[in-house]
Amino acid sequence: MEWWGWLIVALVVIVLLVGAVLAVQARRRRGGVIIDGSGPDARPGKGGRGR
Amino acid sequence: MLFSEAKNRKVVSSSDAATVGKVARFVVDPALRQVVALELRKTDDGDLLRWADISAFGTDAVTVAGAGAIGTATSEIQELADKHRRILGKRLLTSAGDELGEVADVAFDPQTGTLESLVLDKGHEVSASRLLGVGTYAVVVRTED
Amino acid sequence: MRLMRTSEIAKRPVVTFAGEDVAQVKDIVYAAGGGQVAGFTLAGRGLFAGPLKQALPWKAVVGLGADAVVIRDTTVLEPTKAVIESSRASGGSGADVLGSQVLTDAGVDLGVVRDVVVAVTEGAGGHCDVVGYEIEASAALGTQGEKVLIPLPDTLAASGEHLMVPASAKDFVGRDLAGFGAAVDAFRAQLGGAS
Repeated sequence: MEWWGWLIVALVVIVLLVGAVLAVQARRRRGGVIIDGSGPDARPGKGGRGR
Repeated sequence: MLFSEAKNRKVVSSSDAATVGKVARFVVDPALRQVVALELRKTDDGDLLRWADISAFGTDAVTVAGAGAIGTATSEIQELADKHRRILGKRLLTSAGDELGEVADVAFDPQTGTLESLVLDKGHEVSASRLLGVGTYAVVVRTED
Repeated sequence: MRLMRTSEIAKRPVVTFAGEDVAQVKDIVYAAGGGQVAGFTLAGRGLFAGPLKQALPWKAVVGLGADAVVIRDTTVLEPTKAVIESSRASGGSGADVLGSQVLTDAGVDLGVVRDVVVAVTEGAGGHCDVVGYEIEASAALGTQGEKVLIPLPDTLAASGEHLMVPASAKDFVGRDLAGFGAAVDAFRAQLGGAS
């Protein structure tokens, strides 16, 4: 392959990596509504908080 | 007087009646609720004029004793003058967490430099006594109650 | 008092008096017994930002409005663990209510939680409490697949998978936030304040 072929491959890889990081970080920023489970009626949550 | 009226006003030296620059922008200290300096353009000597060095802020010109009054900023004034901390065009947020609009203009007392009110893009006015801070994201004011 | 959906609160900027947006809301954390909101976990604000190690306890919130959560300054933030009192060893947070099934105490499935409704009172010392869920209704409510609001009593029995509500909750189902406050009050009055 010519030198510019490798350059294109490199750019595509970079774009995919950046895209992956953006997606992972966006997912990590996503939140929910969490029961902190310290109240009197709380029961063990899904996945088992082992209480 | 409004920032919008006073912008572009000539700054004139009373010692030789020469125009030493024009008012480009106002540097505000939110804690003091005052204009603390003017940013000038078209000057030979630097671009900041501290309010304390102004002789008078008139309707047609701002007078200073001499061109020597204009200089470069102290680090405190430089921080306040930072372009990300400019008040005009910034969103206005109350301490209750609601946006009221953008700051379109500011009314101030030309004798003392004290801010009187913030005028929003929709025309509402917010008293400057409610001002809590100006940052990169918003101008924050106390809620009315 | 305002009613808000937690889906509107998530991602809202956290702004200090100094006008800096120091974080955005990630999770809304509330206590199972009583439904009081304990606080918010935080995420950073940039494209590449992830969750923050600090969280915002409710008592430090100056205002929760339509556009931002206002705090005095960043000194009021606490380590996330302190705001979510129980964290799993894996580092995860407590059970997320979204996607959980809602059961009545008579064992009837009402639907799946898609959003949570909180009531916020204004001013210093204001409260924020969970007062209802927006659920995707099951066949039992006669409106399969539709989004409806159901009120919650003052105390809730919760696990991650099933949320228990008194069977009478289905008589106070609402369609929009406008009238829902009244439905919550009526439902709680009917329960007679029993926990």
